[in-house]
Amino acid sequence: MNRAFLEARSVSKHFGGLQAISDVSFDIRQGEIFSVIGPNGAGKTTLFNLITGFLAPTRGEIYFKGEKISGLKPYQVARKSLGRTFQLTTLFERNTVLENLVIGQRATRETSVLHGMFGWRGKRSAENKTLERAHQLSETIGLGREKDMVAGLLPQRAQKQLSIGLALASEPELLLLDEPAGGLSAGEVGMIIELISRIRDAGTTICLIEHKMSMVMNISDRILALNYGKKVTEGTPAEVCQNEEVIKSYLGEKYAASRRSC
Amino acid sequence: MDISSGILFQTIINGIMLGSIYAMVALGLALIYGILEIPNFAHGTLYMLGAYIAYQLIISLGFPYWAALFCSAAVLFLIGMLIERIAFRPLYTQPMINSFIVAVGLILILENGVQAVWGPAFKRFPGASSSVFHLLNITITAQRVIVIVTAVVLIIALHFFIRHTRLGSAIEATSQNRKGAQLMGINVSMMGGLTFGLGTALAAVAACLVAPVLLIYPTMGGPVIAMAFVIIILGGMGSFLGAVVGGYIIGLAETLFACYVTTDYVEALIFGILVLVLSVKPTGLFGKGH
Amino acid sequence: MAATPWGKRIFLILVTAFVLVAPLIITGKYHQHIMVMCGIWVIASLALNLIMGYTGQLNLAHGSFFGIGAYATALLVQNLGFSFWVALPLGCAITAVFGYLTGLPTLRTKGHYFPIATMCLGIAIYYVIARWEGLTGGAKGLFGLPRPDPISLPFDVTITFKSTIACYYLVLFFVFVTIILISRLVKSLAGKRLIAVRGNEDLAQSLGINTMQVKVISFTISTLFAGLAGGLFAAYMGTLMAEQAHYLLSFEMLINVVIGGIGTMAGPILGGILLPILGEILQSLAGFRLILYGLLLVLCIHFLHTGIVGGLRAAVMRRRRRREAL
Repeated sequence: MNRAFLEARSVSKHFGGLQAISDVSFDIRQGEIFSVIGPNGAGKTTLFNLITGFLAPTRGEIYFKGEKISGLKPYQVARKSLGRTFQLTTLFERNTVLENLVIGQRATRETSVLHGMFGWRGKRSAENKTLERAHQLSETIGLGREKDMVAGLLPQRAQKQLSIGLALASEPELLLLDEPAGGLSAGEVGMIIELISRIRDAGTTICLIEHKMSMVMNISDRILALNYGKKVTEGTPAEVCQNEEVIKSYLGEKYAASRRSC
Repeated sequence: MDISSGILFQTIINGIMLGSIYAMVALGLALIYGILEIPNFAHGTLYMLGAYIAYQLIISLGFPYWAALFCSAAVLFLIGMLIERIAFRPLYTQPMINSFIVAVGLILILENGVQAVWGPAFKRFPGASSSVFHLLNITITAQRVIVIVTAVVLIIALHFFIRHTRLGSAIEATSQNRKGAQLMGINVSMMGGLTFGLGTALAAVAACLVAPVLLIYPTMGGPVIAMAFVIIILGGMGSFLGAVVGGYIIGLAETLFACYVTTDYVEALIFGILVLVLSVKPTGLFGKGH
Repeated sequence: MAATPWGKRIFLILVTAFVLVAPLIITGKYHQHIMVMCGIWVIASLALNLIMGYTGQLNLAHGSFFGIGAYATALLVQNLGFSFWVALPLGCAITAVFGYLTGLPTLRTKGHYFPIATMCLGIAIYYVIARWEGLTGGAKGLFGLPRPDPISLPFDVTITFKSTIACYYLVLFFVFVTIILISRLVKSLAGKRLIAVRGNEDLAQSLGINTMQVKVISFTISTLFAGLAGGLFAAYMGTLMAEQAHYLLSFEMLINVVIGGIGTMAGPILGGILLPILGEILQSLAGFRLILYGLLLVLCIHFLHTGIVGGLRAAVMRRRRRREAL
């Protein structure tokens, strides 16, 4: 597919005197896994916040499926079929895994209050359907056994899985994952990689921020490298890890040397 | 000076006096919020307690005015630290709503406690001076002037304390960046407690200053705290300048409005202004960005 | 609270049966009066719990909306001659409109500001009611409000509301309506949005939930039921004073919800029954009652912040887990 699924055009973001993002343009193609890399403070999460509406660009625009989404409120962006996770694992901590997965679904945000209070027809069946879907989702993300556990009590790995499942619950076409493997051990990372691949194979386009280079190089179709809020380069993993500045600022000489073909 | 400008001048003096009180109370509130990020609802009740303690010292124990004011401030400083330690500190990791509810509980305890001990009737005690000046047709009581002067002196002293002393800088650092301050070796918990005590003491001084002019009663904290919150919201939740400037503006506005328009709907007016400002700028006028 | 669904159902049936025949068993005039008041407080507490327990926003002006409902209903009957049966729904609607209009600006605020804004709102409403002599009778208040008009049924049966027992059943009817509507809302998918907003607003937004709309709707509904309680109060008591819109009332309802158990259906019901009864028992201690409540509030938040109902549920959970572990 050649048309840009998500397109950022010359996006900039100031905070008072601080230039967090400067003139960044890139596009994400449908069906791919697109990664954003860069040292801490390069502006990766800020970019996510700009895409998902939590921040508005100072300059530039962002388009999704041809429609302008920059400047919309977060819930409006989400309703256009974009989902996200947060760098700091964010869940509904007091609720169980199943409850979390019910809350995330479209039916929850679309059922009206009046229908909730007075509705009769189809109410029970709609609720059953969302519960069923929540069960399925919990299996898909690998938390089948932890369905009734309270989210706040889950171990880090399970919380990461749940946060992905939560974002997935609303059936987004584009899923933005902010450090989905953060704080996980090598074995656990493998599981996340597998989960992400499965999600992509089921038809969802994925954009992720990650620091674990082996994971990024392994799984990405294309990569965007940022540094100090500016775009360094954009391309396939092979191209990106040959880039001088990326090596200097982030990957390090040893890494590039040790991986001839990345 | 003719009568109408005489009245105007008198009203302005009253407005500045009220503004001084509001500024001190709002400042105490702003300091506490700045460092602990909890809006202390019970601040008004502690303000009231300060007045009653001074009352007890003056009327029952014969303390002179300034001694009573000083002691009241000291006692409220300690009470403030105690309340921060016992009632609020355990709740910092919990949702904010719990701190609010605790504050409500404290209000109930203190307001009704005071009422149980001293009764609901209005009380008064003599101020530093009961002399009255007559100046070009206007009457000014010395106490009002004392309120203004003392307030200004205290506010300036506090500003100096925060800017130019080590302890003050530590408090300022903690309120700007708690983690950072902790990493620098500052005992942030103690800073929190000290600031709470300081803010409370400030409110107590304000109450003692104004008590000889206005009467004291157990629920006197209510309207004052509401006003103080409006002030710090408009002026920016943790902002020193916002609290002081806002305090004087609101004090003057309220007094002028009450004198020239009507005393009846002042509260509705103030709330209306608050709502208007918040609708446009949900973080207040000079927000600290909290 | 019983461990099995059947146990729970039996418990509910027993409680409902008791509540239905209570005034026939407890015949003292004074006690029946308390039962009516408890019913009114339960409605108000359930309403507060909707915005506070389920949506996570602390509304300190709740008592003022109770007052608005009371005065609206009373004035519609007294000044405009409406029958109670028309005035009550109108009073609720008026209160809800006020709720909506004040909710819009105040709910836009983030976190800390909302309780403060509602506190100021509550104080402002109180003073307006207390001072608007022309409309509300000011400090004197309104009196001589009539009981609801009699209802004529077929077969020459007329239900009048002169007696306390009749009023009890009237209030009870509305208690049931409130419980049913609110619990339906909370358990429905729409209700999950409230929980989402309470949990984490940013997360809710990222899931496509319009958090502002959720808060406004929840707030409006909660004020509507507060107005309902107020209207019933006005009709039953016959006199109204500005005190009925005072922020102290907001505190009392807050206490009902917190001590009963925030965020549960049973909590405000328990609180709305227990605390007024406690209040009557401690009547002689006047001021100390409120000191005690304040103390209970502080202790509750520190040691039992899910209230009595929450605490009991946790205890049942623990016992069940222990049994399963064996």
